[in-house]
Amino acid sequence: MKPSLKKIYYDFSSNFSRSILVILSIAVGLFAIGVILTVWLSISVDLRVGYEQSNPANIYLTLSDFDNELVRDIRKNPAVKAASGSRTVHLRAQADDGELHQIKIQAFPENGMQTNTLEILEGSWPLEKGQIAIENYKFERFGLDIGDSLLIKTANDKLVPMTIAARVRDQSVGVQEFSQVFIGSIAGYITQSSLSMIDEPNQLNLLKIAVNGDGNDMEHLTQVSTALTDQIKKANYLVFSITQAKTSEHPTGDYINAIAGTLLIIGVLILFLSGTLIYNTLSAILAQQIRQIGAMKTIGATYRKLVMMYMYLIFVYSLIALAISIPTSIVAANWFRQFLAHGINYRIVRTGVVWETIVVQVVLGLLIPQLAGFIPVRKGAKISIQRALSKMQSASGKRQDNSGAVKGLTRIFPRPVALSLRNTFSNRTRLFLTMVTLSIGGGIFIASFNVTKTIDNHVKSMSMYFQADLSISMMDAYRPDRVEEEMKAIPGVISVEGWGSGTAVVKLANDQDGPTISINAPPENTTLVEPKMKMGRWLLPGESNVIVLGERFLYSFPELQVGDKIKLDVNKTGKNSEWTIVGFFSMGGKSGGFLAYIPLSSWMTVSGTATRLSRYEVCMDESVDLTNIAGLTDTIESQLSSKGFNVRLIQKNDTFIRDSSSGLNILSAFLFIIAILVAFVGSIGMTGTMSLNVMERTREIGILRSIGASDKAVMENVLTEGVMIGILSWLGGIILSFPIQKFMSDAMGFAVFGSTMETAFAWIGYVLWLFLSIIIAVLASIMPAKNAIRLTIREVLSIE
Amino acid sequence: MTEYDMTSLIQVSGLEKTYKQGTIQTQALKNIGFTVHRGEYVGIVGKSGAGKTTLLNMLGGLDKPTAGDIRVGRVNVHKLNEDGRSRWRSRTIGFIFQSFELIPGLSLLDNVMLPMDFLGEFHPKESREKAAGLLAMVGLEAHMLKMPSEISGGQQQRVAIARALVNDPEILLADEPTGRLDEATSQVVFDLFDRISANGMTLMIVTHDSTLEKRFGRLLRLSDGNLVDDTMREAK
Repeated sequence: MKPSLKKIYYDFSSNFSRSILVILSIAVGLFAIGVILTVWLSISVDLRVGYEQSNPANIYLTLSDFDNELVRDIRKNPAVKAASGSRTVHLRAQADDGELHQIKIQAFPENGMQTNTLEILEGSWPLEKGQIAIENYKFERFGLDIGDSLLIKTANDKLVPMTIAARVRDQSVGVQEFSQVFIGSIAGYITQSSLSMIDEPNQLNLLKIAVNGDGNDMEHLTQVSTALTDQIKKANYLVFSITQAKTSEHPTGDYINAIAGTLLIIGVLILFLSGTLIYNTLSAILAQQIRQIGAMKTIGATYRKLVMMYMYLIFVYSLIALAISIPTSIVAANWFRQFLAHGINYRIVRTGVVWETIVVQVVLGLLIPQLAGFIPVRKGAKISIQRALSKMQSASGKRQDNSGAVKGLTRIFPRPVALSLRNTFSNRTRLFLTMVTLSIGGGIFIASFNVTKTIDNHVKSMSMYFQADLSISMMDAYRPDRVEEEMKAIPGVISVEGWGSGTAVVKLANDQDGPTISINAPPENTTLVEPKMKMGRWLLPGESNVIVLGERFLYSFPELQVGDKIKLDVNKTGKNSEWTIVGFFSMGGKSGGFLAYIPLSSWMTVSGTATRLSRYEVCMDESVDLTNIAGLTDTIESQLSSKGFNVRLIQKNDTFIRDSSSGLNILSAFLFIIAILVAFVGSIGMTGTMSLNVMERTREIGILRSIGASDKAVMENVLTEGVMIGILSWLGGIILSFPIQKFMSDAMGFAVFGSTMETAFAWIGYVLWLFLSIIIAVLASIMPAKNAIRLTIREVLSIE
Repeated sequence: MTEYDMTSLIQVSGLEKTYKQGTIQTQALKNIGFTVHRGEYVGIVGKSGAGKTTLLNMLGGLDKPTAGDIRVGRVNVHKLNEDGRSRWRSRTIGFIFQSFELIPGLSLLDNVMLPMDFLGEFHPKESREKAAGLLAMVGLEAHMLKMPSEISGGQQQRVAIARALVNDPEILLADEPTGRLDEATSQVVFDLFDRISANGMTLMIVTHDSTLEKRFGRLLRLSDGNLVDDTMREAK
């Protein structure tokens, strides 16, 4: 081997920890890009192909009860590629802890479904009578396993045990709820034969149709659904709602794009951080080798030869970094994809190695370190022999003359502290790059916590519309004063409000049916709703035929404005009524669903229930243990039943919010992963800077010790410098966290809720990053300082 | 004794060097001029700060003069750019430092082979044989696979001499080559220079050790940046 190559290998192996630092600096960027790119490249395929493979329906029709005969007729329509019928019922199921959770059960014929094929992840299939499959996405909410018994509470208030036979994936979850995948209820699946067990008729009410032709052409879908609706109406069935969905558009597509976009930005940032780490470390290496460069130039090394030598060294670093980062990123990306597939409810289709990623990693892995390293290498190789040999200038830039600053500092601080401060600022280029690295890292770290809090607050803001402790649905409508009287006899009940509650079909301009919406009608003097208006105002006492709509309407019907009229068929009585829109309220953005509030008096007029109501919102005394929901439900039910009231459901409102928002946990987990990754990158940056700073000052440390500085004093000197950089970068991180948080929060908010979220700040992120910055700084400083102390003064002073 | 080729090899004229540090200017060399012929054994002497090292660095193309010319053969050294000077130096000059400047991670053999590697004109086998031969010449054949840190300062300087000779330069420049060595070791190193000089090579050696002056065939004495004495003498 040529001596010049041998020198490279010597440089590599002689300071192994420094080499490891460079390799880690490169590897961490390549790792992040590898993971992100693999996810980025595979997720679009997974979502599109995986979703298409489930043969998703393009048209969902909620109908009056029908049988398989209608399904067979629909299949004969030439516009229909596949059709299947199911019965969808919204019930509640009792979890392991006795708490009742909302569950959307779909019952399908024994011979299975032509559309929306379920993927069996675990357990036995096909289902038998008495068995239920639970959708993977919110499976854990029950705290039960395959083979356990799940108690389904029927509409007749019976608790029916069903055996959990399988965990399945249904990628169409959320389609009908206008992409409310994350805040939808738990989904369960049974066969038609089990319907009788849960007191439901052996009839179907949901028709799912996959169309022939372009399933991604919304115009085509509208034409087919209009034709099918006519056909169904002619067969004397009522059509309650129509939902259209594209074949290739997974219900969580928008959400995924937001995550992928955020990931890509983070990836680019990490790559930038990686570049600065490489720059810093190579600058220090070159600075240490300046005399050698001078000697080599003297014996004939040209600029080109020297650049080639050091670029070759960087090439070796790159190769090792690639050897580390490629396999680890493949493993991590697979894990992350599994995590996302579970959390976002899609199926992984693209298996095996994503070669495009490896190509990009190799190209970036060879290119970025060369680019980042070229500047210090060029500086080092360009230095004149005279300067190199006299060490008048280091390759990492001139060490600034801080004598004036030190003089000033000594007036304020003790001399050793002033010296530490001088050291902190002695190499400003490195300090700047380290500060940028750590500040961006800190910014992302802090922003991750703040965005988690922002999402949490946003979800919690939905509970402002569900402020009662319990919501009771009756089988029949009753006079509110009678129910209130009986309820107040129950210990712990403070107040009871009777609410109007039901559904309505929006009548479109051509009198066609629009979406089915949920109607709430609170009493005039209610204290249980604290609305946050997006436009217009809330309901006023004494008003009638006015309506406030959820912001979801603004996304679906952007032409709607305050003051417009909207026509509704309330409770599907077939009678249309006209309502004046007085405002739009905020609630979960576009994911908040079609929700509307009208005055109770108007509800009583149009719903056909006169002065009787079936929904009651109950506030309990603080002393009541709401966690013992099973016992509480029993007490209330027995009290009401004894007085002749048939209770259908009793639900804790916070359970509803928790069930709804549990899907958003993935966001928090995702942000946490980013925070960890960034903290790791930051720690490498800090370790690099501190070890280089101390390494460069080994001689100075020797001098300090020779004039009487104790090991403790030297250690304190180094630690003060590290902590100073830590604190400065923490401050930088706080500043950068604002724009980063704004970007991440908006991306998430638009994807999941369709709107921006109100910024929230989580103190834990700030404290944790300060703590981490200091810990990293201390750890990064201790090792090199210990090494410097370990050398004898003679050894230190002989170091050139 | 080999016959000297007394044709002109180095021509220095009007050489000046001024160092600037902030507003302070220091004139290290003042209008220096002399000629060195092929095969001369020249000592550059003077007190500390006289400009000896500065002059040697100019001669070796390590530093640029503020004014004046240095011609080595037909080459006007400082008309060459940095890389040109490196290439010229690798063929023409062998340079020896006071602090040896061996590359720490390379064996003695590799250290000697390194200039040939930079020159890129030698087959690996050829360069190895040549380096080994030179190490044998300086009496270190038994140590050639050792690292610089494993041998003494005197031995390191002998390796540096072997390294300086490996590309068959016309001129050997040495800057205080015995400055870090004890007297006995210094004698050994200068014995080596004497032998090299005897073989016809042109040597210019900076030293402040007056006991070594008698070895040179010519003495250039500098004082405060001026060439104050240029004496031809019979080397012993």
